[in-house]
Amino acid sequence: MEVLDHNKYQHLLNQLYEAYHNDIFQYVFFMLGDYNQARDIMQDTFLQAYHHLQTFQGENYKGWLSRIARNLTIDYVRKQRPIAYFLEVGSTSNINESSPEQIAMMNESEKELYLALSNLKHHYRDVIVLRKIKELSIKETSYILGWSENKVKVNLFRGMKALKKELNKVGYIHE
Amino acid sequence: MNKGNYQKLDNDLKQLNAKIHLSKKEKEESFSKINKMIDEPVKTSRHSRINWKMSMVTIAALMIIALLSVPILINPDRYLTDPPNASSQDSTIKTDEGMEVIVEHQGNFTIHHIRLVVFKDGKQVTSPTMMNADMSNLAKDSNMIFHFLEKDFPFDGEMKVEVVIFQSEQDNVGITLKPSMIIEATKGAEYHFAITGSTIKQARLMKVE
Repeated sequence: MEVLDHNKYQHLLNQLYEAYHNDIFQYVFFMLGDYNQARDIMQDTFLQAYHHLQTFQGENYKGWLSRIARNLTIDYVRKQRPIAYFLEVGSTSNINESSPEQIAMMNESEKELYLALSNLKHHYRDVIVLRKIKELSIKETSYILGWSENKVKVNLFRGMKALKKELNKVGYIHE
Repeated sequence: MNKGNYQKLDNDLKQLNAKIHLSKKEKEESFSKINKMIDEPVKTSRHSRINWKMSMVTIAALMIIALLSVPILINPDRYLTDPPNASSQDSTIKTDEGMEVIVEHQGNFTIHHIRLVVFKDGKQVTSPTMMNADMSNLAKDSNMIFHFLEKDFPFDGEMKVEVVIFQSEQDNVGITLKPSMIIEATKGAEYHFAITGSTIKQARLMKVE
């Protein structure tokens, strides 16, 4: 990369980081339940993005960054817990282990919701985080996950059903 | 779960996002790390290390798969043939009790309420209607879940399902959507259909795969 290009892409990276670092961090955090690892993957995401900025043709940087972050997260989980990943076991995130101040400051019902989300199969958690927590559109979610829009809708519906079932177990929502 | 609880869950999920964020210091530290990594010369050679943990897990998984495959290899007819009642439709998912028919509103037109008419051998066996509790129109992308128990009607093999949509509270006639669908009424089945179309004239029913 030439010096001029380096400056141009460095400037673009600054703008992207400023605009989306928290979105990417939050997405990875809700997928992994590990604050420090989410931070590392967020950093790797922007590093990878920088190296591919030259070849990126699209306009939706946020979607593109989220997609990189998702791939890095999947790679990480596969390396850490290969069997659990293939068996679709939910994350075993423990609030006390991954306990940044912010989680410790959650109220009881928020902790219940966070834990219920962690107990879901990863493809349900994925779609709920993107659609309901990050409030992305069906189209954006479909791009990030590499799914059809219909698959996004069906998995969101089933994921929310599973989430409500988890929450009912702890009395979060009363019938 | 009532509508208020759904709304509460949606709001709580949105609020969860605001709880997690990097501090200004963490944000700056991370950015310096990224810049440091960018400035580091790219390594031209990599020493690959054997990930023993990963290899052991892979070997163990392959052995388990091999052991589980033995009965299938010995008697493939027994294991690879569909059971008589198995449905090949992707839109069918087994649920714990009863049978569910989910109808999703994906059309670009107003729907006030939906009626599901179930037929067996040409005779109508049930026709439940579903609408919002506050009598408002159904929101686009919303799902209407019709839950049937065996006591509602006998789960007796193939049945025809018609979806009728009504555009207002006063609408008594409704529009019966084409095509009608054939379902296999079995305990534990779940069917997912969607109402599509840009206008009411183009309204159609489709199976969600």
